[in-house]
Amino acid sequence: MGDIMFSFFKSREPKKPKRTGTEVPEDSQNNSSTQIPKSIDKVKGLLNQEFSLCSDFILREVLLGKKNTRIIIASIEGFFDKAILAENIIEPIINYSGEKSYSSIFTLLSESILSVSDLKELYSFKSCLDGILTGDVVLFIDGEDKAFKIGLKSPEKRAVGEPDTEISIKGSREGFTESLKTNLILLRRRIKNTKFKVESLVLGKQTNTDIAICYIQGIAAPEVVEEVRNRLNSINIDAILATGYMEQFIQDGKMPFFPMVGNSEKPDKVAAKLLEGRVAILADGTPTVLTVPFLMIESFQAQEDYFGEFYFASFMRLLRLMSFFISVYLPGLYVAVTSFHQTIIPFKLMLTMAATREGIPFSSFIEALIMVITFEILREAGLRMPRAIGQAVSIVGAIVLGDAAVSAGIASAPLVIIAALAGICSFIVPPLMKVGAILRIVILIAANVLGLLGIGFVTYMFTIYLCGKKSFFVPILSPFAPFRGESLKDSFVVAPIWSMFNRPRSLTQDQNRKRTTGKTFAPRGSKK
Amino acid sequence: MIKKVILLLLCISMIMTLTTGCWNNRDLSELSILTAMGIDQTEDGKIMVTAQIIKPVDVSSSGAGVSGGGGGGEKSFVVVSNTESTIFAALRTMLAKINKKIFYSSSQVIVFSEDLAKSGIKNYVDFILRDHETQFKSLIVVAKGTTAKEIVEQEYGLSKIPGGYIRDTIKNSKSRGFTKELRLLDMARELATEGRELSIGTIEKSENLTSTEGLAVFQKDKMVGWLDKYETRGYMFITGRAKSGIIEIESPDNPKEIIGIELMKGSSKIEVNSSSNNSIEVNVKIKAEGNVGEQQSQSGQSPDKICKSLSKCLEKQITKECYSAISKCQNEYKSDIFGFGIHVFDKYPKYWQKVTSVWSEEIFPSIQVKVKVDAKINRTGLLSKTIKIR
Repeated sequence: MGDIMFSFFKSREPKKPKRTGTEVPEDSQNNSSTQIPKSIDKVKGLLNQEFSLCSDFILREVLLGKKNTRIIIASIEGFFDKAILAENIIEPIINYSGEKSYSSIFTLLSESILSVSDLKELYSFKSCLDGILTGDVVLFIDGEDKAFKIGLKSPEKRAVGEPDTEISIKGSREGFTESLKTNLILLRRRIKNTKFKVESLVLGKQTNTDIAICYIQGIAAPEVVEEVRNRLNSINIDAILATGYMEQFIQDGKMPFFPMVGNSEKPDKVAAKLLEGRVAILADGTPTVLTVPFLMIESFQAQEDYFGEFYFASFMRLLRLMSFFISVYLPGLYVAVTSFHQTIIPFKLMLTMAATREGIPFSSFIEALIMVITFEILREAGLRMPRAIGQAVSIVGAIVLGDAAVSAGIASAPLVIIAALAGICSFIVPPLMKVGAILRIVILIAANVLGLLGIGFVTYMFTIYLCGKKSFFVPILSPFAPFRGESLKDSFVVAPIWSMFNRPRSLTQDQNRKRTTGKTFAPRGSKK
Repeated sequence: MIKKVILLLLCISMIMTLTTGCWNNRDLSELSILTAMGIDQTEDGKIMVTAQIIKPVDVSSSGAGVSGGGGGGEKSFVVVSNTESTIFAALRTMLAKINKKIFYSSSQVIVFSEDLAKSGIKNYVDFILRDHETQFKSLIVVAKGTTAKEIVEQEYGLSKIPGGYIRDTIKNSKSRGFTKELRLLDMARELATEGRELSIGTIEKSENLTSTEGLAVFQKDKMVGWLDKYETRGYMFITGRAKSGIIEIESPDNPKEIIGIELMKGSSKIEVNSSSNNSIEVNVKIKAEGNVGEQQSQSGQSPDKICKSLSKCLEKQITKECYSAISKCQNEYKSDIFGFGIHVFDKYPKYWQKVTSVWSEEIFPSIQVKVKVDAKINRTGLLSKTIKIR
């Protein structure tokens, strides 16, 4: 039944986008992917052809030793400190007097001349181009069909700072940056283990963005890792400017209604997810990291839940769940109750509500719709506008739309409270905020058509839909459906962390955390 | 494809089964909220329904900023009467006089007039039970000495919602024991149960307020008489409904001095036996616990010393109230409002079948009822002895 209603959303395999007729002629690339020409002039010509009109391209020619071997140093400006290039590469080459004997010019360069740590030999012209584009320095030597790639990269980047989107009070304040290397370091610093694997690949036909797949071997399920690899490799897109571009390609189903991929900007959070058996996908240029498989319950989890008082964490967890339901259901419930089920309102409350509704020209549905949509407009305005005019929006929002609407008799006071409460509650669970906004309106309409019955019906439909959804082989409603008793320790409530002996069953291949008791010391008085 | 069509049909049929029943979208602001309903009988045998309709803006002090003045002397409700042959028609044709559809799920009390009760209520309960909108929690009262309309249209200074005011006074019978709280659902049950007659609490006008004390005794669906407040409490004791209340007893030393006992607990147990000469004998065992709440005696002993004799007096007083209720029902009204018949039916079903039709009129008046009260005085309040006046 759910399948029919949602056949619109349904398609298990992400289909590759068809790209007929838009093929780029690859003649020039075919040429350049071949071997590096031995003649240095040819190399120079090719480089100049490829990088024509690229003003940030640097080409420097130097002579080595007594033989005056011509060497070309090619790179892109700005990726590294020019002084290092001059001191460690150009200077030793020029100053080389050529007293030692050597077998080949390559060993001479790598063993005696170049004082750099990251040195690699390249054999195809294509890889040389990639090297230059990613910010490495490439050395071409006259008469050789090989080239040197020297990593000097230290590009401009933002300092590691606290992300605005995920604030933590007790935990780490670090957030991912736009640099892939930095992000990997942030993760590696948290998981000092050779089992922490980082696979890299390049995506985006035009952008050639570096992507990294991270997982912990032995914990992450191999089939999930394999699936992530496959889905990423099958992406055929011009540009990956943010991880969000990949999200749509790799998520299960063509148009899933609920989020199917986790997002985070915090290394500690991603590390925790990796340790539970998830796979993280990082892309150069985005501070947001994707984690799969994604479970619904993740939206309600916060890093701080695992620190300190578990009872308070449990309370917060329940509160978050409740807030989500309030944000989705409250306006709908109000409409259902005031237009269909007046009987269930306590008598005195009914009088109060009737009094506030008196003289309002709209039905409670129209009124609720106006208020809910107004709230969404305000929210979006607050998000998009330049910070400096933020004040104006809050004033207009609070006074004009709230208070004035009530005193003008256009909206009733309880509804303003309800719209505001529902809106605020939706911010408590950010991953579900977008889907919550849509659901709220769907429920509102259902409530207006069929009352509580309609609300029940929509809930029923969405529950069925959700039960059938899987994110990378894992049902997204687990541990509730399918039921995983052990994993419930970290669901509506949070059990003390020492009592969580097992990793989430649906995620990992090796569930057991291999410890018999979490606590290494016996509580006082329990020794006998 | 066929599978999908079948699923779709299944889906639609599921929605259809879910959406049966009565539903329609009516906004709260398009309803007239009825809080009390009075049902009178006119001289030509028709029914006059009086509806008390609340004006929410005038009731709620925090209106939506559009309240039209309100305040000083203006009533917060409107009373509309309408006469028709059926209650349903009367309520519906009332729409000729009021603009919004009447919402009577919010009805707090339903008042029957004395005349109507005496001529039988069976014709009028059907609607209030049949209609899906009536509130089973509405309390039922019989107006004594006045018409139902007079009760409903009266404005009571204590509350802006007269229906709510009447409901609350009946509800606090819990701490008085002088009247019976009877919901619509209970009334239906009492009317339908064999072996127990209906009894409904009464309401009277008392200056600007109402007073709910006493009980209207019914035989089948016709009212036959009243019980006063003490007899009512006797009834409440026998049926185990008396849970709290102040019982005034005479001091064991000096009958002129009155001691007020606050009843804290009460329960009753009814046992039916057949005696040797094949007549029914009912034993009512009542357990009561109370505290001394007030003592007028200046000379007497401190109550904690005479707990035993005080509890004897309490027993005597409760027994007296019970017997007065029983004898009135047996001799005057011939109506088994206590439900002894139910116990007979439980114990002697075969015998009950024989006497069902004549139980109230013939058998019940002649059965022997024994009331045994077991009372206890627990506490004597903050004083052990009344203060000495110089």
